[in-house]
Amino acid sequence: MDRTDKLLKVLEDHEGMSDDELARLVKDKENREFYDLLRLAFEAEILSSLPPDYYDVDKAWKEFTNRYRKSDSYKFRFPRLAAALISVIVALAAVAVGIGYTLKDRRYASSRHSNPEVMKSAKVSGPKINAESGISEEGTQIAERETHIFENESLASILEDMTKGSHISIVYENEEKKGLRLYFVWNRKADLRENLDRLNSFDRISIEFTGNKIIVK
Amino acid sequence: MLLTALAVVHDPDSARDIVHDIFAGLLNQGSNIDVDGNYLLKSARNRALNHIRNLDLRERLNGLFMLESDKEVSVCSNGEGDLPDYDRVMRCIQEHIPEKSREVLRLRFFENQKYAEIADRLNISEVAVYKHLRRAVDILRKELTEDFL
Repeated sequence: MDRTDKLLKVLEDHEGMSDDELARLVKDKENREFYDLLRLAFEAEILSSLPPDYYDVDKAWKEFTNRYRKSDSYKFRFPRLAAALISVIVALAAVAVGIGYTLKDRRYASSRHSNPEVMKSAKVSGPKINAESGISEEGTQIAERETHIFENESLASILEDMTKGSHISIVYENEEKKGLRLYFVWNRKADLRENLDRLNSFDRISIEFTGNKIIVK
Repeated sequence: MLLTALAVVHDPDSARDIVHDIFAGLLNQGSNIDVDGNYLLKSARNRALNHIRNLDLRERLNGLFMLESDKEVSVCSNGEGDLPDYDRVMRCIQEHIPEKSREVLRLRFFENQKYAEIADRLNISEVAVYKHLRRAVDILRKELTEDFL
């Protein structure tokens, strides 16, 4: 039984082999080449058997828009709903704070002449409200916190910040990549995978994410 | 993008889902990132690799998937990616492999049938099934190794 016979036999039935034996078998260069050749033929067969309308852009677009509308009901609407609720809460908080300070102002106004310094300090320590929008600066800061800009930061520190508090480990196959310096806008609202996909768009970066491990190649 | 994803996940519907998800993600993110062909192809590749990342070695062997998720599917920005010339592979299969052996190859790997099932279906012995399969893979190796491996 030659090498090809053995690999064909293993592909047909590998129940009797241990995981280690299998791993050793596919590690062998010639076996691996043969396997990749079969995979190539298999993929060619898949592509040749695709229905003619698989590449139909109009049909794909209709499917996409239908799905987008459907998912809009839960996936895409949720952030908008959350944003709207946050806006309402911030606006209500601003109004409440405004009313509170108006009442305080009145109380202080009655004693203004007797203690002017108290009035001054109360105004300085209160939250700043934008006169035109009625939204506090705190509200604006919340929006700003949804993104974070890394300017000329190392890849190592960017990944460390993005995974802080999670149990995700970071492995560098090439230590030099740690020091790559980047300008990167971290979208905190997007999940880690989407942010990693965006990091992958840099030519010098190739990252694989396995769910609990980030591998930088 | 479809081909890049399909070459990894081997399932046309999953490949289409992956491409849809990428565009839905872009729409959801707004216009705060630069998107070019290379970015889209890399996204398709990475999402496809993530799609198969939980398969163990045995599952990968059964489905003829990539054995390591980190194996590069090289992509470039010409819109199609630097995928293997699958047309050439298919031509080789059709032109060089005899019909019966081609059918055995297809049933064994494309339909994932066992030798006994193929033997029943083609009304030949299991030994004959194996001989056809062996002939097919020997031809593949002879015709394609130099160009693709």
